[in-house]
Amino acid sequence: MSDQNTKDKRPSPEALLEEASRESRGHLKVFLGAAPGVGKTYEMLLSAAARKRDGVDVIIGVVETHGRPETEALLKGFDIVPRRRTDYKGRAVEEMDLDAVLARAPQLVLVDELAHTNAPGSRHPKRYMDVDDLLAAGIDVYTTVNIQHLESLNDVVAQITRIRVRETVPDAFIDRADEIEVIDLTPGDLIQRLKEGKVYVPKTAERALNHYFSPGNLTALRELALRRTAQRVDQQLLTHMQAHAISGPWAAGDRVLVVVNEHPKAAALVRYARRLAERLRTPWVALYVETSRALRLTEAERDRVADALRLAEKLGGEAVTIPGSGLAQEIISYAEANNFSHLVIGKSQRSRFHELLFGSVTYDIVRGAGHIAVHVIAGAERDALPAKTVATRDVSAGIELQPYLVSIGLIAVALAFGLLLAQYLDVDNVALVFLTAVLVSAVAYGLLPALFTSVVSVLTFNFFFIHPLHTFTISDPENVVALFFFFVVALIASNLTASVRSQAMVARRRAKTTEDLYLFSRKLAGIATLDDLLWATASQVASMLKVRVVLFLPDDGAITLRAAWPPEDVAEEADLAAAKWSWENNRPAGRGADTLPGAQRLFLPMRTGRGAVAVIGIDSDKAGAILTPDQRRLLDALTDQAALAIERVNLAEDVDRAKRAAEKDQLRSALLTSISHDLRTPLASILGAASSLGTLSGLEEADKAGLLSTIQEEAERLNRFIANLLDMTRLESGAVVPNMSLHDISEVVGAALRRADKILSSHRVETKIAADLPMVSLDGVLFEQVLFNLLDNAAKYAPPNSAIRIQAWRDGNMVRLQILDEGEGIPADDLNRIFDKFYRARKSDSQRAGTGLGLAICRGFVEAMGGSVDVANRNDRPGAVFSIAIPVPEDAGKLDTAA
Amino acid sequence: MLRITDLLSPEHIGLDVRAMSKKHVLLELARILAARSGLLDTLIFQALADRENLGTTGFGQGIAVPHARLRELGTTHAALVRLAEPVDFDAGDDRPVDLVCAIIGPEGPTQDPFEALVSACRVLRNPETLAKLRQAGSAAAVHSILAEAV
Repeated sequence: MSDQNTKDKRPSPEALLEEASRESRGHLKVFLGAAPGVGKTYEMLLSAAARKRDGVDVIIGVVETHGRPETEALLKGFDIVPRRRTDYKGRAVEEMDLDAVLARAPQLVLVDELAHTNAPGSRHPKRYMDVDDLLAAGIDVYTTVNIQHLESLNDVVAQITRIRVRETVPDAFIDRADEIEVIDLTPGDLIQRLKEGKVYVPKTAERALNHYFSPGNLTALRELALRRTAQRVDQQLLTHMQAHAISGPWAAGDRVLVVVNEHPKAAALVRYARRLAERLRTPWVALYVETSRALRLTEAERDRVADALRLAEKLGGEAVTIPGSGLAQEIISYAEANNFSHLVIGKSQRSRFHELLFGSVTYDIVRGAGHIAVHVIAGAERDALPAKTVATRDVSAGIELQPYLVSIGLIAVALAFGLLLAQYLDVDNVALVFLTAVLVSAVAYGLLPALFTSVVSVLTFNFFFIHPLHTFTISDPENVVALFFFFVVALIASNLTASVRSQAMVARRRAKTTEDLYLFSRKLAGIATLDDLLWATASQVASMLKVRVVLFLPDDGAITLRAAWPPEDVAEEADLAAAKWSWENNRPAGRGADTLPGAQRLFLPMRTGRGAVAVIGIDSDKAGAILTPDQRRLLDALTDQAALAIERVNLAEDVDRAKRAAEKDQLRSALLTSISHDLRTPLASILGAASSLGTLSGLEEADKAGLLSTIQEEAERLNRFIANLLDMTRLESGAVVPNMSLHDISEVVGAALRRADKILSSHRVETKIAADLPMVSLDGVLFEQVLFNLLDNAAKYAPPNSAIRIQAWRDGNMVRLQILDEGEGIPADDLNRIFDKFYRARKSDSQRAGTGLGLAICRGFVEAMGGSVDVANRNDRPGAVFSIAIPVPEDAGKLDTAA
Repeated sequence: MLRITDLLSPEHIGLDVRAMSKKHVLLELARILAARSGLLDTLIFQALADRENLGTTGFGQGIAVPHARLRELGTTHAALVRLAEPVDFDAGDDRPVDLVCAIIGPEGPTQDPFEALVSACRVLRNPETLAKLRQAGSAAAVHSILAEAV
C-alpha cells in the first residue's frame, strides 16, 4: 500500500474519506494523562470555560471531581445534565444520561473518564460507545483518559505497574480523535501533589505512593503517554500529506504478520504486533492457520482463536484464516507471497524433549524465514482477552449417568462370559474379554466412561480371577505385573478409541453442517423473489440453530420487519431499537451483545462485501446467551450466504426497475414525437387554409368551400386525436369504468357507421350481422368508440374504393364481431405489437398517419368490458381482420324472451 | 387486522382426519380450500408444497401452518385439520404434527394472508388453547375455542 503512495501523486482515497467523514461528525478532543491526578479534568474544564467564553454552547455530561476543591470551583457556570440513576443489585448507580444529552444537543459536551464501564441496563456497556453516539450526532466531545486504559498498551502497563487494568478503550477510538492534549506533569510534581492530598485522601495516598505512584512507574507511564501522542501526531501528519498528495518519506514496503493460535497469550502477540506496526507505520495482519489439529480444539480454545482474530480487527489489523497442513511451511509461504517483512510468533511452550521428538515450529520458521525478520515473543499468559462482542453460551459437559450404568452392565456381561471361559481357558485370556468391554464403552461413550470401565474391569478381574479369589489382594507378584499391564493397555486403548470416536463425531457433525449449508445455498440459488428468499433463510436458520428468527430489511431509510419464523409482524420497542442500531452501526446489538443488551433478541447485521443488506434477530426460550460458539460460526455462514442471495435479488430488482424506467423514457419520447407530428400536420393544414381564406381575395365559391371543408376535416382529425389521448390517459389511470347495459350489436354498429360516415366516404361498407344475435352487455359509448377506431384504422390502411366488411355472429357463449379490410394486411412481425401504444405498422408514404393510439384504446376499452380483441391477416385475400369477442351474459336468453 | 377466525368457519375445520404423510395432509387441506376458493386442488397443493420445500412451516408443539400466495386467488382463505394420527412434518422441534392450519391468499401488495398467518400462529402458540383444541369434540367447538383465544 505504501509503495503505491510513493508512485502515485494523487491524494489517497482512504485519506480523503477519513477527512470527509470527520466533517459531519462531532469533534473529539482527548485529554490524555500518564496517571491519575495529573489534572486532566481540571485542564478539560479550563479549556471548556474558554470555549464557553467564545459563545459555544457547552454542557457537562459527566465530570468526576473526586472531591478536589479547585476542580469543583471550575464547575460553576456550566450547565450540568442530571445523571441517570439506576438500581444495580440494590445499589443506586449514577450514569451519564446519554438520551438527555442527545436531546439537549449542545455544541460541546464534557465527558470525563472515557474508559468507564456503564452499569448494566445502560444503552452501551462502555462510556466510549456513548461518546461515539454523541460524535455521530454531530456533538463535539471533550473527554479524559489515562494511558493505562489504552487497549494495545494494556499488557505493557501491566508489566510496568503490576496492575492489570480491566477497563480499556480501543486504540482505534483514540486514533479517531481530532485532538489529543497530553496533560504532562513530571513525576516529582505529581508525587508532590499526592503528598499534599490533592489527588487522594491521605490514607489512600500513602498506599498509592508506595505502589502505583513510584517514581519509576510514573516515568515509564509518562514516556508511554508522550510516545503514544507523538505517534498520533505522526499519523495526523501522514493523513494530511496523503490527503494533499504530498509525497513523503513513507516507510516503504514494511508489513507485519502475527501468527495466532488457541494459546491464551495470542492476545499479547496481537497487541505486540499492533505496537510494532504502529511504530513502523505499516499495515498488519493476524494469521490463523487451520490445520487438522483445529478439529480437536475445545470450544474454549476455538473461542480464543476467534477472539484473538477479533482483537486484531478491533486494533485496526486484518484477520486472515487459511487452511494448511504444515504450520511452519504455510506461515512462511503466506508471508512470502504477501510481502511481509516482519513476522511475530509466540515462544514455544514445549519441552526440550518434545522438540527433539517432534521438531519445533518456532525453529522451522526462523530457519525458513529468509529475509523476513522474525520476532519471537514470550508474551504474558494471563488471560487478557477483551470481552466478546457477542456473549456465547458455554457448552456444558454435564455428567450423564447412563454411560456409566451401561458400562457396569458391560462389565457384568464380560464377567459372566469370563467365568464361563475360565472353565476351559487360561485366566490370562479372560483379561481380553474385559478389554473388549473397555473398547465397547470407549466407542460408545468416549473417554471418561472408558476410563471408568478400565478401573472397574481391573478391580473385577482381580476380585474374581486372581488368587486369592474374592479379595482385592494379589498373592503372586507375576499377577501384579500382568494386572498392571492390563490396566496400561486398557488406558491406552480407551484413550485411542475415544479420540478416534470424538474425531469421527466432529467429522460427522461437520459433514452434516457442510451438507446442510450446501443444500441451503442450492435452495437459495433457485429462488427468484425476495419473499421466498426471506422465508427460506428464516426457516433454515431457525431449524439449524433451534431458535426463533426475525428478519429486518431496509425500506425507505428505515428498517422494517419483513419475515419471521414463526410468522410475526410486530417487534417490541426495545427490539426495534436494537435492530436499528445494529443496522446503522453494522455491529451486533441486543441480548448478549455490548449494545442494548436489554432487548429480547440478538441482532446481527447480514453483510456482503458491499455492506449490510439486512439485520437478523434471533431468540430462544433458553436463558442466557442464545448461541454456542459453534452455532455462532454456523449462523455467520448461513447469514453470509443469505446476504449474498438478498443482494442478488435486490440487484435483479434494480435492473428490472432500470429497464422499466428506460421503457418509460422510450414511451415518453414516442409520445412527444407522436404529438409533435400529429398535432402539427392538421394544424398546418388549418393554418394554411385559413390564411388562404383571409389573404387571397377573389376566390371562387367552390375554392372557398374546399378550403373550409379542409379546415373542418383537419380540425375534426385534431379533435379525434385529442379525444384519443384523453381516452388513453383515462385508461391508464384506471378511470375507465364501463357503464354496462344490454345492447343490440347491430344498433351500436349502425351508430358507429353513422359517425364514421365521412371517413368511410371513399370506401364501400358491407355489413353482415346475424339475425339471431342475443343482446350483449356493453358500454354503448365505449363500444361505439372501439368500432369507430377500427373503422378509422381500416379506412386508413385500405386503398380507396375497396370494401370494408363488418360481420357478427354467435359463437357458443360469445358474440364475435369482425372488421375486414382489403389493404395489404399487417406484416407478421407487427401482429403482436399492433395494440401497443404509439405503435404504427410500416406503411407507404401515401397512407394517412395515425396517432398510434387508436388500437391501444380499442384493446383497453374492450378488455374493460370483459371482452377480447385480436388481429390477423385474411386467409382469402390480402387484408387485415380485427375480431372482437364479447361474452353473452348468462341470463341474456331470459331477458330476450321477456323483451 | 385480519384474524384467523374471520376466515375459518366450522365447515373449514376437519376433525380426526386420517393422513399418512405431510404430502397427504397438504392434499387434504388443498381439497378443503379448493371447494372454498373454486381453484383446482392440485394448484393449491402445488403452491403449499412449494412453500414447504423452501422451509418447513412446522413451528413445534405439533403445529404447522402451511401457506402460499396464488396469483389466481381473489381473497384469502383458510382451513384447519386435526389429524387422527400425528405425522412427521420436518418440524423445528422434530415432533410430529397433529394440528395443521393452512392459509392461502392472493399475490400482490395485500397484507391479508400474512395477517391471518400471524394471527393463526399467535393463537396456536398458546399451550392452553392447544390442549383445548386437541380435546374439542366438534368443528363448532374448535371454532369457538379459536374465537375465544383470538
